[in-house]
Amino acid sequence: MKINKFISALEGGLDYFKANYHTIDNLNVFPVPDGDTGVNMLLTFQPAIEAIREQDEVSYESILGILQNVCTMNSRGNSGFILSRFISGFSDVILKYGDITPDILTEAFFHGHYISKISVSTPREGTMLSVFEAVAKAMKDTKSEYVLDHIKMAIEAARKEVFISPEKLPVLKKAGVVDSGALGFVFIMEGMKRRMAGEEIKIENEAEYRFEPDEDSNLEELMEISHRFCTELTIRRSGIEVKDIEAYLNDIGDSVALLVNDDIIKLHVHTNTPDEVIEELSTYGVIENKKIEDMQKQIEEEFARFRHENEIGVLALVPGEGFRSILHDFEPDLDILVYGKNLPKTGDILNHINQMPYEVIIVLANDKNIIPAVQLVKNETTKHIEIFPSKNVIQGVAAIMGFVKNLSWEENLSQMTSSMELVDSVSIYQSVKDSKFAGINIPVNHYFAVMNGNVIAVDEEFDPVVLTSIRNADPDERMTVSFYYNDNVKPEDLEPITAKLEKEFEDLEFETRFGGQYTALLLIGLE
Amino acid sequence: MKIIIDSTCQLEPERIKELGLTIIDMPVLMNGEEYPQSWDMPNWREEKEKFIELMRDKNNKITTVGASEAQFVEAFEKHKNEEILLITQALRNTQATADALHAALKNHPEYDVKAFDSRSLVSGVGVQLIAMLNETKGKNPSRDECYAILEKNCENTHVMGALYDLFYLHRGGRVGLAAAVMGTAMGIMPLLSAVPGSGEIKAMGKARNYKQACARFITTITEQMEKKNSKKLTLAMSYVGSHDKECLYMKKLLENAAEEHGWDLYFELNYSNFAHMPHLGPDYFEMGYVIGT
Repeated sequence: MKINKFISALEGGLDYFKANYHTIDNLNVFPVPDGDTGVNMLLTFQPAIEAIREQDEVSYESILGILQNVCTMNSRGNSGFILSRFISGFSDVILKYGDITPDILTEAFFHGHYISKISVSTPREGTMLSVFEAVAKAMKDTKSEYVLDHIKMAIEAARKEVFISPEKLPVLKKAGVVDSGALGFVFIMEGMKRRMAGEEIKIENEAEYRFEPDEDSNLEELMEISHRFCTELTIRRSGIEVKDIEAYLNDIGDSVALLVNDDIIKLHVHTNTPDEVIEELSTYGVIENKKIEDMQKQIEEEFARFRHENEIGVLALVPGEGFRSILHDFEPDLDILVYGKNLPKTGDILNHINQMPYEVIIVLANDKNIIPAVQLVKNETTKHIEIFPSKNVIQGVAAIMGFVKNLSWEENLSQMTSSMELVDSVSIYQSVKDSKFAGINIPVNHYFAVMNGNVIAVDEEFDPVVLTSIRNADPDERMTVSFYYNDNVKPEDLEPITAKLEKEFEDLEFETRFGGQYTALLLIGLE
Repeated sequence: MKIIIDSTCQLEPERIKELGLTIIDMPVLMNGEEYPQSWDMPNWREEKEKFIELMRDKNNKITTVGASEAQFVEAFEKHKNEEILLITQALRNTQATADALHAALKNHPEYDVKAFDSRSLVSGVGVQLIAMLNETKGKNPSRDECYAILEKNCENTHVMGALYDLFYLHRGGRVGLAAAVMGTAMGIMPLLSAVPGSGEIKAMGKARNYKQACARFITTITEQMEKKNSKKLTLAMSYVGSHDKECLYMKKLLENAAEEHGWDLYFELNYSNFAHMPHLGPDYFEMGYVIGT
């Protein structure tokens, strides 16, 4: 496997994880339900990939060295520690051979699993460690000709292991979730595979990783932890025995993990006496980079979030599948109802709202013709519904920029309105017959642009209509122009248009995305 | 009366000298070592650019620690026979500094110090001082009168800002705050504000670009001015690197709004101090403003 392909796969792993890490946060209950597994894994992995991207000349030696060192030094939390240890062991094997083949990959997984397992004082089944082991065994049992096939098979084995994690770790069964760290690792692998196969990033559906919680469980029970403070620090040691430190840490806490690297020991422990730990460890060497987090506080906040206390839900009704990912890019926790040719039915909206775990919901109708249906829903449900008056999906996208889930609905409506007012939209259509729109004659098959209810351009060609629309829309006061196309427009059709406009308006930035709306060929957001 | 203020106040060295202030430099650590910086270092602009470049390498662990008791005492000692008015950033955000100040005041009653907790941060600290100095210009106010003006303005001091990268907030442990404004799209600018009278930081959504961010800020300021039924606005902005263009754009919008609504606008622009960069990153601009007097 060529090194550039490997780097590209790593980048794919990061991009996929970044797009889905909030799902990992939401599923986090073990070892402590503090909702930060995704963030911790991201902050462990991301700096290494960023450092790799900055390299001018690349080789397995240089890249894996960076991967090992940067992940180790940035590792955070239990999952970050375990991930960094796995990466370190995995990289050792690849470094030994200077290449990646299916057989080398198998050996690397075995070694990565071994190194991560011995770094943790109390290795637990049902966690990321089990996924490493399951993948290594599956790889050993399968002969693949190509690396990609080997990884595809490994992901299947990893996902199977993730889904049996609740059987191995009772706390997961009680909470009705799979292990978040294990799933996080699968997401990284999934992203690597997708990049290698040329596939798009997918937004994972959190519900697929949840199931009915154990009947006997209750949230309060999950909130109880024996050691309150997550403590991490680095010691520059001077001839001390790692075993001594490990024994001490196991005595005063749990979730002990140690990374030993030359004269540096990076450690992680959950304890009730972080100050005493620091005082004791300072006798072993110079302490650096200490971090103490109150997990009880994090858990309480997390459970409040889990119960959606003080949180507002948002349901956006959008006219095409593409807008699902566009809106999720800006606000991952949105609920989305996609409709196509026909406007959504009242019953569909009502069902969707009733399934949302929020008592207060802001509905972005994104079409004035949908507002009556939402009004009916408002009368049919016991939930508090606020109808946000976005007239089209471009306004809806802009409004979402003002949404902050832990603010009140009044504050959110105010901020969303301010955000919405910063965008103008243009819709480009093709006429199916000779017609008159807003007093303008539009011959059959001609393209025309509508802005604020007025026709601002008509032409038999598509390009001049788009160009005229932008030129007439005060472009000097804008910074971003977003093109959302449907199935009847190809993204390459828009390339010559953006090239012309980029030359003409140097300060403007353009983005082109699939919206999938049924009626308008192109929706343009001008911000 | 001598005024001592901590380096979070976001005033440039020339401005500090002009106002005759004594500064307590908030310490900055890089990879566990104290990073050599101070408000009055020669070639400060180049030094800050150098620091920003080091920050861009995310392998460098940069953070802040609270001011020490010794720093307070050293500053008090410079003015040992004078009345001292000490202005600090919101102490709720820095327990270590609060403890150090408490110890300095308790252990050294020989200094005549009146300490004012601005209950604000970044430019919200400096702008309270500026609003007070503007109000007392040409007069000879006592320390108590100055303190009373600061107290009066505190509840009307707002802070807003835009970041270009959430990594630094995350790393600084403000995960919840960062999560509130997190998206996965590239180029999103998180917008933050601080609660007047407390300095608690809150998310106020996102923007796609700086013009949109500034437009959101203007809308917010206009609403706050109308709510307070005030026409007087004292506003200080700060930036890092090349982000002065955002501030100049904001200034233009402010001047337009002032003309439209008949505001009495005071505006000043400063390069950010070292102390905020570890938390906000190498790319941001922010403003503190006092509504009315």
